[in-house]
Amino acid sequence: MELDKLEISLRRRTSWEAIDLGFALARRWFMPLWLLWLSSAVPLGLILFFFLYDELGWLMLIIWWFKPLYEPPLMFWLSRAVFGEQLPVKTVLRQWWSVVRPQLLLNLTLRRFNPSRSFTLPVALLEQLRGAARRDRLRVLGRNQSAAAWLTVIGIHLETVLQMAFITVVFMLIPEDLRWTSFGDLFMAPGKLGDWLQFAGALFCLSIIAPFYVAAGFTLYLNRRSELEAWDIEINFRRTSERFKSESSRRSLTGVASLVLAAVMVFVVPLISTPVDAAQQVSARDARPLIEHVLEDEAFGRYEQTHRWEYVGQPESNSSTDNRFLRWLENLLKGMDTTAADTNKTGINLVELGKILVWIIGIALVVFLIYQIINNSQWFSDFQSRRVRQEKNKPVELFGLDLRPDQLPDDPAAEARRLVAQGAFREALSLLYRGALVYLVTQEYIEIPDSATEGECERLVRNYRSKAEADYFNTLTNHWLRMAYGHIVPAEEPVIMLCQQWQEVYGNVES
Amino acid sequence: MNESQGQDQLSDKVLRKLGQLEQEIGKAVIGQRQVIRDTTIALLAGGHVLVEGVPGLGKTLLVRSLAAAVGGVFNRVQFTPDLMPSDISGHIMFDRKTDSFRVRKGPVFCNFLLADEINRAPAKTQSALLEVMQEQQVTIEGQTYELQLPFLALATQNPIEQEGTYPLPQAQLDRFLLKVYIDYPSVDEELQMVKQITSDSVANKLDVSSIQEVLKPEEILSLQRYTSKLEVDEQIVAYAVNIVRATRDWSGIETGSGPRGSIALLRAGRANAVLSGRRFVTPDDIKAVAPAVLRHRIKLSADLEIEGYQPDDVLKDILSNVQAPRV
Repeated sequence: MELDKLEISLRRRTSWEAIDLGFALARRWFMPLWLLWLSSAVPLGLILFFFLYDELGWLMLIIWWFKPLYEPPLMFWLSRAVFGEQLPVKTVLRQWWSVVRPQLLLNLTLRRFNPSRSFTLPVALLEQLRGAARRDRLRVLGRNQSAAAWLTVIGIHLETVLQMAFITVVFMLIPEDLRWTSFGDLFMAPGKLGDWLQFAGALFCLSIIAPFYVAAGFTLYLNRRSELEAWDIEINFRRTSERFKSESSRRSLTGVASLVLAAVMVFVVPLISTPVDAAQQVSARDARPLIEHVLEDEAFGRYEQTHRWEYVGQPESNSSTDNRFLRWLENLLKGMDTTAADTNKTGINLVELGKILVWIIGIALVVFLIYQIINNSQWFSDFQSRRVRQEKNKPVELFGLDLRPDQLPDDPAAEARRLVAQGAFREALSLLYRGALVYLVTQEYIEIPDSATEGECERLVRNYRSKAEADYFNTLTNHWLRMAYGHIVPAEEPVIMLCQQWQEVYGNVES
Repeated sequence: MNESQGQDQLSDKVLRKLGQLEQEIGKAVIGQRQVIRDTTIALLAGGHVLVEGVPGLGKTLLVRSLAAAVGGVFNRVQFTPDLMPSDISGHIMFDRKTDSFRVRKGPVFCNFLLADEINRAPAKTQSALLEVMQEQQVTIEGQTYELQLPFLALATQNPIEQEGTYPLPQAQLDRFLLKVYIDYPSVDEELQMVKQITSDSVANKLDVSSIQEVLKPEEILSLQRYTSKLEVDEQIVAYAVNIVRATRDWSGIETGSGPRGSIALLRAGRANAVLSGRRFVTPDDIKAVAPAVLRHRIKLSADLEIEGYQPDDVLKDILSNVQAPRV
């Protein structure tokens, strides 16, 4: 590893500073990173589109699920770029499969919901570790590293916010007069356009966030290795060595400085960079005076005195059980800023908390996608058993006529005959017509709107009922129309005939 | 009962002839059944028709066929930007032979007038025709001349090529009983039409020689009187009024129809009932004629127009929401 070729300035950084450095890298090299992400995602999207163009929900889910497939090329490119070798995108794409392949299956399955995905990726990709070696390595690297999980959590939130913002902007850019739907319906109502918009927004936002996510994970990894292996110190010594070499060549520097430098290089560098080896060569007792001797030098003679406020009074007694949750929350918030030792005191492991959060968000996302798929497609229709005809709400009143069966006499035909005998033809025909409508609405579930005219009712009956019934209804309607609107009193015989036939056709009306 | 029987007999006689009228027109005008039906409704109701359609769909042929089937006088006026009112109504000219002024009656003096592309003439000329349609009389130099009845004006508009046109104002549109859309014929109808017209025919002359005269102008007048006396139940009147009133409060309609719309709805409904062979009007009659009666009497809001809605779309909504009468 040629540390002196590093493009970034290594120093001790907190995790958050490391993430910030990653974002700076992503901003600097956004275009190649973005192109690399798209080079992996777009072909897959196109292939899937051929099979699932009717199933946008599935398409979105698969593209989202395959994110670990698109990220290794970005990591690979970054790993070269930080050491001064900015590969052309084409070069990375030529070896795309060899970059993506290591542990791909695991990345897409068991490790898919790993909250530290971008942080652990270099171990598999760059260090080529697998199995127990990988686990041990991650145990060392991941100690006290909760920032990687938070990076994932924040990334998910940013993706969601960006996606919402994207759709909102598109919606706002549509002139008000041309808006065919409300904002809520665009999100929630099933419909191709809304789905496509969400899909386009999701894809766009994934592609925007991915370079930052991968770069931040990589700088976290670099920062951790630098911390463990003292890369920054090694680089400084190398530079010092280079400087001395160049100066000695120019000014024939005395051998004293070289001696001191050599002594330091021999004793100190191994001591710091590889503490385990150093422990084998120099005992702690021998090392102490050596270190003190080195520290006596002016370069190490700088002391800083810092001040901070600390509460020294007695903690407020709070015996109320109602405040237990608040105290727990306080501990939790404190725990976010504490070290591992502190987290042990509070009993909160932030990495675990992050994992739980990511799992919850992941599961919620999958449930949401499944809900969308079920709502927006007929994919499951083949598996659904045929719906049992459910009883619909029966209208109580239709076009001014009381349609409740209990408002009809037990035997409408007999009642109509009685009315005919009394000369009340209008009432008789009205009763027969109303009874027929009650049958059609309540027994046959024919939807007759309030605005339906007699002619439209007749067409509905002709469409949905038998010819014999339609013929009878036609005759009944004609008599009713002549009576109701033409005020033409019919002869007694055809009305009696209608009463008899009514019993045969609609005799089984439930009362 | 005797009166009822008499009405029945009159109705049978009338209906038989009316049925033949539509058949005769159909001999020359292939397809376009709804247009023929609407034109016949306007004839029976004593109204006028505004036909909208692209050129070459048989509008002239329709009016000529109607004139041939009824035995009336047919005239056609091609409206142009330089057309003057006197070109339609007529004017007084000095006759050197008799050394006096004499009236030269314009093309409006006929039974069936085709006002082709009425929106190409300026408002002054349009008004001259519309006055004739409303009053059924023409005033030339202070002298009033009654038109020979029946009089039916069929004005046409071209929905395309709107440059240089003078759209009819809402108040003038209201004078037309019906506005009818004439659309392209179906494949079969067009095949039949092309065969029929090109067979034994020189140039583009419209052939109405196959049409027999089935009704005389006087019979048309009696039919119009019969139609106007057709019985209408109170519920039907209320239904027509409810539909028209709904256009005034309907979302998406800037200006609804006035009372003239209700009147036109009943007149057209009566005519539709006569054509359907009934002596009374049903809600179906009103509903059937409502689009043609109301589509030119409502003005959609700018929102709906921009979104591409047509008056028929809104009327369809209204008709499916206004409760039909039940006795």
